[in-house]
Amino acid sequence: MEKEFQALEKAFHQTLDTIKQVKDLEGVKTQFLGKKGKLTGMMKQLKDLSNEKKAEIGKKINQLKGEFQSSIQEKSNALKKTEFQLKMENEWIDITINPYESDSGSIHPISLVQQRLEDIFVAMGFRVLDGPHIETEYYNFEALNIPSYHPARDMQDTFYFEDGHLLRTHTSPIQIRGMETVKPPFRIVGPGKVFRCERTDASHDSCFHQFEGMMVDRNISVAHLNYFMKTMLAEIFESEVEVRLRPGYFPFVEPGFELDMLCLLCKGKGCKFCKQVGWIELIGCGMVHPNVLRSGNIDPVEFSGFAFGLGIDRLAMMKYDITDIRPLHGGNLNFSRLFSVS
Amino acid sequence: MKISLNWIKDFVEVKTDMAARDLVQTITMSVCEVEGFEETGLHLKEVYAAEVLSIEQHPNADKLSLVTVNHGKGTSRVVCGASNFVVGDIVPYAGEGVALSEDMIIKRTEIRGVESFGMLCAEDELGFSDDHSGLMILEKGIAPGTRLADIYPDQLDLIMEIDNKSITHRPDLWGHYGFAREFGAIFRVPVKEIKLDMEFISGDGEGIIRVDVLSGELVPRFTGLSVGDIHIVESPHRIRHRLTRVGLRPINNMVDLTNYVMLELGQPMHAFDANRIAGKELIVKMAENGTRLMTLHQKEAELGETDITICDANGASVVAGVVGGMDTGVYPSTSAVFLEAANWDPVSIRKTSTRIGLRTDASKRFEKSLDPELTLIAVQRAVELMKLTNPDLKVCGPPVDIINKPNKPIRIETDTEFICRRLGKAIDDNEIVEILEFLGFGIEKDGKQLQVDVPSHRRTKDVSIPEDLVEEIGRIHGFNNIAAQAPMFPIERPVFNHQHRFEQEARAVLSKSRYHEVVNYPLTCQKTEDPYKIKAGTIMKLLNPVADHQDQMRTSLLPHFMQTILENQKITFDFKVFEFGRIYWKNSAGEIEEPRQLIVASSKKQGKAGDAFYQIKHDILNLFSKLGIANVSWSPLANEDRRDYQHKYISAKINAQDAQIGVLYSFSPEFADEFGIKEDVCIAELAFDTLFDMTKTDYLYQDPPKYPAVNFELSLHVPRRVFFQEIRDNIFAVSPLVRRVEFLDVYYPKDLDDVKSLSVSIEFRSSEKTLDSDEVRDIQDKVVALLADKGFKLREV
Repeated sequence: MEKEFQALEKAFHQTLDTIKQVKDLEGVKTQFLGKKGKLTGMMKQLKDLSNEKKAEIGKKINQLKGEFQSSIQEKSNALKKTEFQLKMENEWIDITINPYESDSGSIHPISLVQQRLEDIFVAMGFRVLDGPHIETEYYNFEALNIPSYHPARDMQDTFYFEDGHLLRTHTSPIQIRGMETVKPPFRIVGPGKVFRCERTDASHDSCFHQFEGMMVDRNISVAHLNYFMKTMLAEIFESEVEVRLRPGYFPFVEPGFELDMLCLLCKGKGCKFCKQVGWIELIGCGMVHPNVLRSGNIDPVEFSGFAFGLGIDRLAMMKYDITDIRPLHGGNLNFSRLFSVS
Repeated sequence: MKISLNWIKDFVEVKTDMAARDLVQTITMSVCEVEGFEETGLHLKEVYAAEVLSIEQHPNADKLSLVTVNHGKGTSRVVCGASNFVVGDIVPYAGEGVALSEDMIIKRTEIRGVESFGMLCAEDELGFSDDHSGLMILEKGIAPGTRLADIYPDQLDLIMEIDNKSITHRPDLWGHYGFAREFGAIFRVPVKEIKLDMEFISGDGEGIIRVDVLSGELVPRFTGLSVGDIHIVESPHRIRHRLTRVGLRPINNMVDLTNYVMLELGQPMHAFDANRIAGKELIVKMAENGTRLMTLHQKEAELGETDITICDANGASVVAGVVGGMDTGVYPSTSAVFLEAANWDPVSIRKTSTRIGLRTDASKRFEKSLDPELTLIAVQRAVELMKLTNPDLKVCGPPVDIINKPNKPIRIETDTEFICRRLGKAIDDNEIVEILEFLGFGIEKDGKQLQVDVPSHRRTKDVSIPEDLVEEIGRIHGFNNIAAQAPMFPIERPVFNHQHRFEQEARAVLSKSRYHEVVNYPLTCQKTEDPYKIKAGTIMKLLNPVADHQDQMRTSLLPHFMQTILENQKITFDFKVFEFGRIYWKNSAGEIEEPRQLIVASSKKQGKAGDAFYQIKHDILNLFSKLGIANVSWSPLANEDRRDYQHKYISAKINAQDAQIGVLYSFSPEFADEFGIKEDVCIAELAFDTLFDMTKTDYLYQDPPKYPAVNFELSLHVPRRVFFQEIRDNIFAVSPLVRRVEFLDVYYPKDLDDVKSLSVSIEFRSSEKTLDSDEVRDIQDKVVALLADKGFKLREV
């Protein structure tokens, strides 16, 4: 028996040595440990032996069985390791390429600035309103203290329709529509497209975007207007800004101002960007004219307010250093792609 | 409009130590916008009077001469091209290194073989006028070596370019005197008053021209005066040079003085040749339709019944407030003039000037509502200036002065507290009173109460209410001296604009799905829209378009969006873009509508049919999910709903909550070819307002399933043009235990023409128990049987 064991052991190891793949280990298992396997065959011979011998040989068989199993396990582990290593070796990739779409998408700069402006004012308790682009003379002019003989109503500034409607020339009609929907005290802003009968050049377009604002309460003053304008610009440009208020004429405010911001590039010294002025004209604003408050059925003795309007396009051009207004319309990808970080 | 500081200084003392930049800043901050400024005449400090000692012929050039001059510091020989001078004349000499302008620096040069040391100058080279006919000849007796700056000190000036738009509401600022008044208030220095001379008003003798104003409603005031015994000559140099500096060309003493008065006081004037006025009478009336008049600009104007004219016996001779006529104008032979200074109705003047296409310095001023008090003062000033060249002139009678509309006084009641409250700063009562007084307002003060009388020059247009006074105090005190202050207000419940937030969310989702947002013009033309056969209401057409291709409002974003796509296909074929915008029309009830549209496009290199379609479908489903729009379905476009450029099969109606919200389509090959659309392009048009109005589904938590699901995958042979949707509906109908039916894969077997192999994944699950294998097998069998019954057989493996 002893010899048989030795022969079996030898045969097992010889067979195991020939195995090169994990899947072939199953065969070895069957051959030596399976129901019809060699070790099982030897177990069957035990029945002819004495009890004493039975115990001795049985123990030996079990011992061999254990050894075979662990040898197979070891072999299996070793083969797997090699196979995994080989698999990984064959999985070299070029990590420097980008085979999927690389365009990141973008939001138009006008939308970016408009959203930012809305966010700033919503955070300060303002309500965002809308108005139609196709307006009446009443909302665009009359209610805003621009009488019928005022030059602003001329055909050279305003697009008219055959039925007497017009394309709003500013977002200020939103002031009037706002006063019709909300009662004072209130704070409103209104962004949107406006239209002027103008030939297009690098800084003028027949269609552009404005952002209107109005606050009406008791005892609102120029000092308050100044506060909101400074806050807005500091938030938009993410830095403290210096502004100056100087007289400006708009029929719907009294007093009226032009608000200039100290040129961010030259800090007032004068450069190409600010046309050597040192200041950049940004916002038309003022204290709401009593006639405008009356148009909105608000008592100008009890209430006062400020209003402002600024060009979103111009602000976007300043914020993103765009030198020509024309590419804002049209959607050329070379332009759009500049508004996604890559 | 150009403004001269020296001219302002005629009326007010301006501190001389102020830098030009600071003066300009002062005006900007307190008065109006200054577009630019220029310091003139600085070079005259280095140009000297020189006496011509000799003139010799240039040896190598017929038209040049060699001039030797004594310029005080010695003699120099200059090569000169002019010939309007003789030995002994005094002429301007600029030596080496003198800069006459930025690009004209005198250098020692050789001209035709002879060296020239310096230059003798003409008027234009020194900035006096645009005269280049010969050298500027200075007065005899001026010592050689005298600086031109000392001979013509008025030439050292600060010229400021005022932005006309910023003074449309300030008729008083259309002349230098108005600016002098502003300086007076800013620096608190007295301004020289211009007073009417009683002797002048009462006059002497008899006028030679009669005046009758018929259209008095539109002529608040008409003033005129006949002056005889005059000669038409050149104006004195001081007047000529001043006019030149502020951009006007000097003509002769008469034309120049009307211009001078206009620039000084803001009151335009007209000078008639009194002898050319037929019938010796002027009648101010509305023109008859079809009246033709040859203007001083040598252009014929056709007038109508809305235009005011001044007529003589021969008919219309002046377009009132706009331009004079050739027939009655001033000529070199003129010996008597009728000076007219009127106050015209601003609206009427503006309409006439717009209609005949002539905006003159006069009409620009009249349309601002001038102070009617100016007319008489202007005529008086004109006579004063005329005496400079015609000391022996004869004033004929008292001036004609017809007043049709009283210049009503305006008194404003206010109080100093109100002014401070509006400004948001406590300003001393005394300062308030002082500022108003310097600006010409009359004040009665009682405690904090103010009674303010508005002066005539501010009464016609811009000052009538207390708020106007707030502006006067604020600007002179300096708006910039008002510190920013946050208002106090209670915190309120926020009111959001949900439509904007919805749009912002959509924009964010699409850009994160790698779409670029584009913006196109809302103005378009019929030719651009025609090919797309958009069904809209009545098109909104512009009455006064600027360009032919922008004469109506768009009824869809599509046409311009397609241009964007075609344009970008020149850059790449792989891109995704979207646009939000309003579209416009009038509905059948006559109401204007401006619905919002969202349009989305994908352009891809041509791959399998439908690649771009599935890409957008994928992205839109993602968008809807983020926007909370549930129950989205897709159905084929019926023939009658499909526009001819849309692909017959790669096109679908997008529905949500049982309503159509848009279409998704590719283009018919024929259209794609016609329009030059390359590769694989697909478009989705969405009615964004409809989408916004839909019920939004919010997240709702449910317990996860307690019992496991069983997955079942099967492959079917089905006819190629059967929609997966049909298979899915059939499978769902088998049992409520079917929880999910998903598309897995499709392929088209080469050996079977009309059949595709469709792989589907099905999930069975019960919410009451774990399904046992018998139950699963039972449903599976039912599914297979039912599909087989419909003709969809299991693919045999």
